[in-house]
Amino acid sequence: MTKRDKMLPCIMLLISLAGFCFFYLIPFLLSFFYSVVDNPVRGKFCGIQNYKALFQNIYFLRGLKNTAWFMAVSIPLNMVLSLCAAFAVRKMKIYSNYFSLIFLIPLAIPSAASAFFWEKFFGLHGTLNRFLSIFHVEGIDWLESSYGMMVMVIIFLWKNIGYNMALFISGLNSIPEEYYECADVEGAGRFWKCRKITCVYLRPTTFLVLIMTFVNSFMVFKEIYIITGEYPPDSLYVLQHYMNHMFLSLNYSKLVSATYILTIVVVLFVVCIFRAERKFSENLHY
Amino acid sequence: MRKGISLLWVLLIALSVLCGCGNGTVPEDNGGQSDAPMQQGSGASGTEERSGAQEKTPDVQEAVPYVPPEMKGEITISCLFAEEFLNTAAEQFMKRYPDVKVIVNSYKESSGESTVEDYLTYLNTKIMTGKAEDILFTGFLPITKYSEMGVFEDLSGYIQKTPELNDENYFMNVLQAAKEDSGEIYIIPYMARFDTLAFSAELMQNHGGYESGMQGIHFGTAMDLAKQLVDETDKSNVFLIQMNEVSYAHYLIKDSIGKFIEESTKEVNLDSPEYIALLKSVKDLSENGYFNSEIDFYNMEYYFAAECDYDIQAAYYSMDTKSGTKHCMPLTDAEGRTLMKSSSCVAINSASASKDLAWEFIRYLLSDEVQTFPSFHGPTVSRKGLEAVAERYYAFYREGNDGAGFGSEAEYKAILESWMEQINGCDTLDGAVMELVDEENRKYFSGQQTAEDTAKRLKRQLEQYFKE
Repeated sequence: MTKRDKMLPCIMLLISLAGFCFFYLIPFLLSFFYSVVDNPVRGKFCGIQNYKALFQNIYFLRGLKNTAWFMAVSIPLNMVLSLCAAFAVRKMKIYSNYFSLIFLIPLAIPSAASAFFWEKFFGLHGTLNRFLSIFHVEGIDWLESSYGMMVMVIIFLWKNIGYNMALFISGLNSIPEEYYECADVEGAGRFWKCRKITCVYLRPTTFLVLIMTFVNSFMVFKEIYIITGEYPPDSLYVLQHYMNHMFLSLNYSKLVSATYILTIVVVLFVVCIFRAERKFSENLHY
Repeated sequence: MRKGISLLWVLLIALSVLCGCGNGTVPEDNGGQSDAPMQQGSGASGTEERSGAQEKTPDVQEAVPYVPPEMKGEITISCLFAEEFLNTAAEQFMKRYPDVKVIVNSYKESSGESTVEDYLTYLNTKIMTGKAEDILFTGFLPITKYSEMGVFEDLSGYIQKTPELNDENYFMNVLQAAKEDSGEIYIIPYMARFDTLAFSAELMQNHGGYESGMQGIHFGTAMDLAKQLVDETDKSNVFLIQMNEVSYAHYLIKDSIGKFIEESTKEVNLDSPEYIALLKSVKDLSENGYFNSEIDFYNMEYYFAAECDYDIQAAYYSMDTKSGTKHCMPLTDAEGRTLMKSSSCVAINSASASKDLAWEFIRYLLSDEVQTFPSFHGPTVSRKGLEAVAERYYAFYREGNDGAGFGSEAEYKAILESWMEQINGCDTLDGAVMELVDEENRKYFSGQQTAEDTAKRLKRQLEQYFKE
């Protein structure tokens, strides 16, 4: 390998790193200043008062709680359902491509269009309530009710199952067929093969899917915002609402404090995932 | 390795704090002094004023003469769209002071975008980066939020120290209409815009017992009377006022906004039975045909018991005592205050490095020279300016009536002056609040939700707005 060949990847990576530093890391670090001043205009040092105030702010806590609830429900559900879909599509002898396509279509639909559809579906005078009225069930405004977050979970699943399913299919395809054949020769059962081969060799993909779902789960704000507007019902109030409002009302101190708290949580979560992934995959050899 | 990375992180964070602190403290300490060394002893700097204004008595402040700054430097102005008088005033100011450059940054002209939301995002970013313009036109701005955040400089010191700003030359009640309870004045008007209300002269003739000589009326009382006028007349096609349910409710709510939203404590009482009753009463009126939803303007004769109009025009038509309107007067709120709109005001950016120069430009905007510009389209704050406005608009309306107008120019001017003298407050409620209210009310009036649901949703939304 020539010196030039060794340098090239570093240069390419440096360009990307420079972009990341200039546009994300450095502004993020510089913004720390705002979190320790009372007000960005006056700029008076106030220590950790903004962080303390955040944990006394009902809207921040509500956003945190709803976001955590949404993630705790939607991420595992999404992973399980997309894995099931991946298995099902992979087992199909015919039309498997068409079924994959059906799951992937929601990804291609613009958020505004899908939000409009779901609003009409779950609204007070929407399709679901009309259907329920056949059985004499009194309609409610699903989005305004305490079931609001469940509706968002459904929308999230509808939109993201296809993407995760594609990742899982790719993960399943990467498991060498010889392992299964060998297990068959040894007389292994279906459950054993699933537990000892599929689950083991699917771990790297599972961690990737977990991280991608975690990241995508923050993006559900777009749909909530389009459907419920700037000031959503309490059950649908997520952290991004709080941050968005803080930005619009010039309260950068609270905005940056909230961002730092969120970053710490996200970094800790991702670090845990990576550590777990490293631990579970250390003896994995293809 | 890990320790090294941790150390690097700590260093980076510490550096960012230090850099940030440096940026933030410069305007706070030095604002208003950098361009004008001669004012240091005068105490005319806004920053100095702000820190010491509350301790000093007005007498002591008046004793310090106003020393204008050195007329050299650059003044930047931010507005959503620049009015003609502003561009002309900027040009004239630069001619008068060749060493001063005035840059008018009109968002609409520079970006082609004109939505308020876009402009606010743009301005917020500039404010946060310390690069906002020296003078901010307050139309469409969330004045209360900006004042609370310290975006605006307190102008009370400047007003007190500027010799020509007195009752003889100006409507001082208007100039100081936005005075806070604590004495600060963050915005100053160059024009005073306000709503007026009048009753149909023809319908009033049949009605007795109206309190004559009334100076102002609040919307609720006026509409009670208007309803009586509609009920008493035997004419057909008589309606309450030329508004739909949403605008009517808007006026009624603004009329008593203090009952529903306590801005100082940020308490929202929109789910009160009173609010629900208000909504239902408006719907009742609508269902009983008091609004003009089905008027065929070209093919039928129709009447309105009351009329809401804008200052300049209302003053002229209030002189039409034969067939037009009667008892025309400014609208007050339920507490009897005559509020001007905050859309025709200016403020100085508290982080500006040229506050004194900015004040000099505002002083020029308030001068008789600018206030008599023909492009001023409303009652000006200067008395001479108002004379010019009265002269101009009287001629304009008279011409519109083929030279056969009502009253005299002196009468017209007297009406405008008397209305201006009544102003004793400024409506600084953020536009976003009433937008939310109107949006939810619209859903109620179109039958999408009940009054109770509307009230509940509004309470929730406004609580979020105020308490986040």
